[in-house]
Amino acid sequence: MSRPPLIAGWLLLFIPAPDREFVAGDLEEEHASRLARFGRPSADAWYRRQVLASLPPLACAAVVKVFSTAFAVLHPPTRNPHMAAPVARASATTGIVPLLIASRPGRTEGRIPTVLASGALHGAVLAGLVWGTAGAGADVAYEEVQVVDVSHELTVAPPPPPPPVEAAVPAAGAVPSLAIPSEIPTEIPPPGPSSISAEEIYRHALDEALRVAPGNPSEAAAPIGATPSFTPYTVGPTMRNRDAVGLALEREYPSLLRDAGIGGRVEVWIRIDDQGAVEDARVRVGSGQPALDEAALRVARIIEFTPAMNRDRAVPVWVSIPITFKVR
Amino acid sequence: MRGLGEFEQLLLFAVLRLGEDAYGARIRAEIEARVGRAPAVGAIYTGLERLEARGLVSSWIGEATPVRGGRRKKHYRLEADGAAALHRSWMRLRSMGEGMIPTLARLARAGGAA
Repeated sequence: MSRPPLIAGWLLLFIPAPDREFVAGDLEEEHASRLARFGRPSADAWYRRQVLASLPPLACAAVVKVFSTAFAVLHPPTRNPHMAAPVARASATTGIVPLLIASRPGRTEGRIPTVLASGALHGAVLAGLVWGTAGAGADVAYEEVQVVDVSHELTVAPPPPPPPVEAAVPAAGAVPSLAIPSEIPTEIPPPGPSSISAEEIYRHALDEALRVAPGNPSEAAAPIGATPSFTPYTVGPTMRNRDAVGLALEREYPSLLRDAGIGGRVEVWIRIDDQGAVEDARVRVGSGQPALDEAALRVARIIEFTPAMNRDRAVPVWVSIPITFKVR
Repeated sequence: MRGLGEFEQLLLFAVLRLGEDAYGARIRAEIEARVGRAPAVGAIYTGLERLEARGLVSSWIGEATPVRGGRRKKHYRLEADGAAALHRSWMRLRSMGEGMIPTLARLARAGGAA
């Protein structure tokens, strides 16, 4: 039985019709997923919170829409009936209030009722805006700055030896990264000049790190005896969530070590499955600081990759990535 | 044309990332997973409707699935104007922040310690 909570479900009836189906479907879909992962109490609590938090913005948007169309009907910008007709038709689809107002006969003659109705509508629109501002609190919460502290770089080892790729396949592996491609050319200057900014180094380092593909088979076999054997591939994995990894680097850097200015370089083996998910992460060469090694593993586990491809098939692979924590 | 708010940027990036799979529940979950805050699904729809009214995204109705109680999905797609607005907005912020991030992080840390 995977039904979401009944009473919270009834509240969905307050959501305006055009959106209700999609919102209810989305909530039920996520509820089912959470039910399987976290159990019923957690999933039900999440569902109730979502329903309650969703009502204000949706209702507010509907109120604003209704009253702005009603306002347009009461105060037509022109006497041209061709202009007023679509407004009235649109308003009729949004709710019963504008329908009643729009269909009221002789609305331009009765001065006092018109003024009263207009005043009431203006008040309601104002109230709706106030309500909307309160409901938009959920949005405002996003205004905090996400700081990527580039003083701790995910730096990269010297370029890995060319992977043992079959001759027919050129460097196709280096091409497709799901990161926003249009910005990359402007962000990464040619290597060399010392004027390169910290952020550029950071971006470049991440790019390089995720181009990796040094799944050098002979090397891989030795340190990880118990692991699956090396799988050949023609297109290496690339990182999909650079920003999240940057944040994780910042978050996971043990603050005691950071404040003491202690950094280190950890080489990490990562097994990537055929979906691009990290299945396993192990320290290949430790930094000498167990806390840094642990932090590097935690960072490694949140990286999402595009799966490595062998010809036209996604395959699991091992790659080695150096992760460096460094205080400037 | 006015610029994009941060929540609008999050929405547009989510739509961009998810491609064909960009519908309410996935967009909400994507933002939650990457940003660490859980927006209400209602806020997702009102935000996307504003963006649609500005011509930055378009929507289409998808299929119904049993796990959704037989309800249909509303999918969103990034339009060229939306891509241009998002790119412009992102590059502006990047230009202003360039080279300032270490200082910013240091100041933020100092503020947190005080």
